[in-house]
Amino acid sequence: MLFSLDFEWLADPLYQDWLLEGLGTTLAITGVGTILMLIIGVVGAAIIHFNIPVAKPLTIIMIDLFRNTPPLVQLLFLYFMLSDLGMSYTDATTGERIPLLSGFACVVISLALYNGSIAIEVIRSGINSVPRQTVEGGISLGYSRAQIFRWIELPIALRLTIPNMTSNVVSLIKTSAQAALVAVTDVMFYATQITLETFLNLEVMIVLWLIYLVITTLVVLLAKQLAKALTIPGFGAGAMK
Amino acid sequence: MNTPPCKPFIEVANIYKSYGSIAVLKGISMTIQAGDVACIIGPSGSGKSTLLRCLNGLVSVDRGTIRVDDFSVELLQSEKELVPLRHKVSMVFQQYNLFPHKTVLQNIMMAPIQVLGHNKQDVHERAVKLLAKVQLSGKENAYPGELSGGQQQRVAIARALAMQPEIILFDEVTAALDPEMVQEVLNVIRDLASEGMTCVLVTHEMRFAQQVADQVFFTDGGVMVEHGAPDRFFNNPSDPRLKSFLAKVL
Amino acid sequence: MSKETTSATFGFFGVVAALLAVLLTLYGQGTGEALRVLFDRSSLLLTGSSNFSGFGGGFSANVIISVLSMAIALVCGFFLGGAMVSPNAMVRSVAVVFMNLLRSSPWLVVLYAMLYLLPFNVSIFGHHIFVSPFLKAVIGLSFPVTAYIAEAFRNGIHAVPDGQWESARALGYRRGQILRLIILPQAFPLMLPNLMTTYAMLFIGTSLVVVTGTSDVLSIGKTVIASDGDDYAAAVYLYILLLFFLFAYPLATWTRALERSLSKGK
Repeated sequence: MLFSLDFEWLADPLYQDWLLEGLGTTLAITGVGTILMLIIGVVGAAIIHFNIPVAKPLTIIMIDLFRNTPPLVQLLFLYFMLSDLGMSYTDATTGERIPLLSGFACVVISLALYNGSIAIEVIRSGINSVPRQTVEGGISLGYSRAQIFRWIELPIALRLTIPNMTSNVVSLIKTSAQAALVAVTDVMFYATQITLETFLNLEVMIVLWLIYLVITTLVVLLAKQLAKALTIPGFGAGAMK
Repeated sequence: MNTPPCKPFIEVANIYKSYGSIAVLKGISMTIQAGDVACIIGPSGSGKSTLLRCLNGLVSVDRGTIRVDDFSVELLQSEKELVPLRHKVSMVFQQYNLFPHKTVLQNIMMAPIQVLGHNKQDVHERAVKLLAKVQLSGKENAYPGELSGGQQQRVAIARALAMQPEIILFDEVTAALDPEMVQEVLNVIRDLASEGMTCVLVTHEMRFAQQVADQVFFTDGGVMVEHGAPDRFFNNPSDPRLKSFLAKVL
Repeated sequence: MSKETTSATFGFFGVVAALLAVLLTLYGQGTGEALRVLFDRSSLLLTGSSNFSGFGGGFSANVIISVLSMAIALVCGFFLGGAMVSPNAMVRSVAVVFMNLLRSSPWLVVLYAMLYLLPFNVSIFGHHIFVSPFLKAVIGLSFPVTAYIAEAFRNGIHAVPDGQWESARALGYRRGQILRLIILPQAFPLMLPNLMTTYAMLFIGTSLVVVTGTSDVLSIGKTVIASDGDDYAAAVYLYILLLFFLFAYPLATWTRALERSLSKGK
């Protein structure tokens, strides 16, 4: 069975369309999710860094909650909560309640919150590893704390966190496969559709797995290029410690 | 410079500073005239660096007064109030403290533009001149990590000068340098002194202090033990602690 | 109380309070009713049985799956990790590639693959063994976790200074002996926080086994929602979030404490 793989279904234009459409959705989810995740990461790290009353404990609670519970349950909760809040309409033909905020939006928001919580911690550890003397240099030149954060700590921290942030993006891409479970038509969703029609489970899963492998590998390569372009010459190799 | 000014430029009166239970400054006083070069010497842990950091508000004092020109430093609390003081008083550190992610030119230009709001064109012109002054023309686009320690320290001095200060504080600026680079940095400071810049140095370079300083201060155990003109100070010390210190370092 | 204990306590009660606050906001007047439904269904959600008469379903299934998967992954991961530090370059690179392939596959894809790939019956020496969805879930989850453990294993071994290898070799130890008697005892404490984080990740990942048709907490949650009505969906999911949090958070706190004591000991 293992050595008689059948990939002829890949030649079927319908399945090709499905996979491409699914791929498009997956890329859209992960693209928007990554941007939101980075915004949450920077804002959250700033809130904790500046010790902002009320916002800081709330941010910490958010991190603790999202990091210690399954992203799938977070997604399902968000999906049903929004419909419970009355943000739904009743389909006239089937009589079924359909949430107003699309499944797509729920997936993007839940991924942004889950991976954003990780991003906050990643950026915070980056800020903590900015040398104390560099900050002191800024203070002595009359920079305010906000200016030091914006011009000195954040730019250095973001560079230092590229490797960790890359794994976070990869995690986001892999987690995005759960979108299929709230009927968002991502690549995972269409792949399961194809298995239902063709019964070629192994073959379809291999293709699906390769698709994710290619996406994540491209992201890692891109991140490496970015890291290279943003390298601080002479910094990090023990030159400035 | 030779005309005695009516009022000292920097006046420190009876300041105290403790970190937890450790008292670092125990009632230090000193005065420095405009245009003078003042060197603070003393054994490690005698509070020299803390004293220097009090002058530009990097460290706040527990008690006592510090006057720098018209500023009462001990009264300045917020960052906003401290900005004008830091415009007037620049600082150069032992570890250079340059911004590693910016080029040499950006390091020099950043603060005047972002903090003082000066015109970018003017600052650029000033920065290029300053680089020439510290003999680093051609290194504009290098990053700090690509330079030697002595070069980085000269960039740090140029960065401090770009703020157009009236006083520069030097915190053991040659202590982290290889011996062959010490002179190139000291030469830059010597030039500044001869131009009439008010300089306050914490240093271990006794020969430099002897040649360039107008006044030398000796601190030990958080108190000011002795001070005076270098001639008398080095050749005819009166306090036994200073005597034994000089015997060790000279 | 130390600073760390204070912040851990704050996080714990803060999250519980936040979940309660969300419940109150969502249900308002009906909160009592929602809590009653959750109370009535607790046994089902926690143990899979209706009156705590047994376990192996619901949340307990998630715990059991995570423990079994971890056990399998620990064994496989140590072998894979061992191959990744093999002196044979061929073995090493094959192992590294294999580890990377395992690590980069989405867990959901692996679980789906297991669901259809593993036969329903395996016969070994004439004995027929039924491969239940439960077993498929355990095996499926152990694949990606094996990769994480192998990597933790390799990093732990690399964290031991090279001088240890040299001095042991100078004393006449063989490679296997050095690894077993000298390197591993030093590497294991270094690996421990990593392994615990991996376990926490695996535990949280057990929520995905819902796709295999196991009677895990999410499947039972769905059944409950189907019988008690959509109105309680949010409450049920909040309850499940709380269950996972109550298990995972102390683990995370413990891991952090371990990491701190490790970095202090250095």
